[in-house]
Amino acid sequence: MISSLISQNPIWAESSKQEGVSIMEEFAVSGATWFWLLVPMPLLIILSVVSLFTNRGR
Amino acid sequence: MDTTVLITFIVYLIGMLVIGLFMYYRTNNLSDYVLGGRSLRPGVAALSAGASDMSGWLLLGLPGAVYASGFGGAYGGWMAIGLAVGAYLNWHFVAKRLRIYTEVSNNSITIPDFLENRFKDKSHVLRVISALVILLFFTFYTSSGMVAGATLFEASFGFSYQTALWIGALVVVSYTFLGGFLAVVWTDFFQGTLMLLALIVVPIVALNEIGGWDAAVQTIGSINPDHLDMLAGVGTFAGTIAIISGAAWGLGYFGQPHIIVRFMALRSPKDVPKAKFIGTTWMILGLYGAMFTGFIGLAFISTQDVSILSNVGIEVVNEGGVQLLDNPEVIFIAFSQLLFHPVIAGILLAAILSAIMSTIDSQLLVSSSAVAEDFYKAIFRKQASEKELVWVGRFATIIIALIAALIATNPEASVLELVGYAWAGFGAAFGPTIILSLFWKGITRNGALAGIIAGAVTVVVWGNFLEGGIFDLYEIVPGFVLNLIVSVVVSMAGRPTPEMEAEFDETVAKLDE
Repeated sequence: MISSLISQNPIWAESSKQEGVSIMEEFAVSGATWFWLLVPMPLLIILSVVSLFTNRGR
Repeated sequence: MDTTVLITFIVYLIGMLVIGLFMYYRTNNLSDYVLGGRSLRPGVAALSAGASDMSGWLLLGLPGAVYASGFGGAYGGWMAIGLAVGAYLNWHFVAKRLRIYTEVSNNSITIPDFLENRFKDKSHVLRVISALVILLFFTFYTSSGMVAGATLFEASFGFSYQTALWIGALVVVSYTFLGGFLAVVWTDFFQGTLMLLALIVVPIVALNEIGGWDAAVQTIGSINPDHLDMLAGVGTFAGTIAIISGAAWGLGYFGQPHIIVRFMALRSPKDVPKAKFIGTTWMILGLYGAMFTGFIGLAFISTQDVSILSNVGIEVVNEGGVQLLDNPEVIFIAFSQLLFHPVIAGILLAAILSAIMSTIDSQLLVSSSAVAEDFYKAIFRKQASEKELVWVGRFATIIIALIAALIATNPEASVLELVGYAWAGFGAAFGPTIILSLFWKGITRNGALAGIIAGAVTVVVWGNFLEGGIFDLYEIVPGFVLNLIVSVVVSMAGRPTPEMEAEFDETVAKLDE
């Protein structure tokens, strides 16, 4: 996938070769980033749903 | 300029004016004009609070920040989390109490009005100082929105900057002038819906176009692996300061007059949980949409043919062998022009203008209410009729908008810095004061006054005259903390009046009803 993307941009492909960057190198979003992206904000939605039903119960 | 895009855009603007005209006939007194007669349903109040909060920042600023530094920058993920938490806490702790307290406290309809009534300040000093803070910061805040709107018109339709500025100003002032609060909240409601749809659709279409999530991650990792790590700056002093500054934006919520006035306008305090759910969900989906628009945009633009980009007027630069947008903040505009049919592109551009306009109109309204209620009625004409006050508010809207537009005629005016500065100013001047007013019986008039002044002055001094090291910390942090400390210390040197204490108890009692 990355090979095809880089090859679409000649300048970048050239730059990658010059800097000796392996185009096969795999990248991934870090685990901590996934945590901070996907835990606190959805948790707020869940909390607001909980308080919605708690108040209805009253 | 594509005619279809322009026609779609004009139809949208006419729709907003029609709403203004319709609401004109439902506005009979000042309470209607600045607070809609406390009649807002939870969905309308929630989306209106969100739309007037987010401004062009959600469609231009946040995608631009994530485009510039991926998830690794302070003003990407951390700012989004800070804002989401701040907005949630504001709904959770402030909304219901403020809705009840403002009614108990002589049916206050503006923030300065509430502060004066809450602290039984017969000298009007608290009202005048807080109205001055509002007028000062909002004039510049509104002006920054007008600069952003004009830049959008200029970039999208090829108008000259000055023409674009005055067209945008005319439309916003027209419907705020006519319909007041009801027009503003209903246009906010439509604008908020449009913004959310745009923020959901754009990143999904863009992701499909680029070949999926993995392709985007690999491309961005190749540009800079730090863009994939939100904790990339942790461990260094500058990185930590940046992360704290980003997250600290959430502190600003408790003091934004144009947002918390929506709480006061709710139909009933019982509507708060529903409004909180709608508002929180809207905001978080919007934040995700904005972040992923910027993130995917970085991968997308770097792989596009330059000629395709230049055909639609998108300027790119080459940095270290990577093709990047000259202005990161136009990534949403770039997507709308590159990936969508002209009718959809017109609607998406209207969504950006919606975001900008929905903030400007709310700020104009709060500023005009400060003039009508807090200066004209409180100081100059105590016997002014309701009709007279509505017209004073309307003319104040025009005058404030004119001043803001004149400031905006200088296209060098820095939009984002002004927004950040005004956000910090309100957050530090009013945030702790509002929280303490609602939750602490012991706060006194002098404590509140000293706190407001301490918060505002700290933001001005820290933001303008101090630089480097710890002073790179976002000014809202020291301003907020200092306001809290000063308010508590000064209040402890005095005592609240029995009348203030009775009203506090009455509010607390009504919380459980």
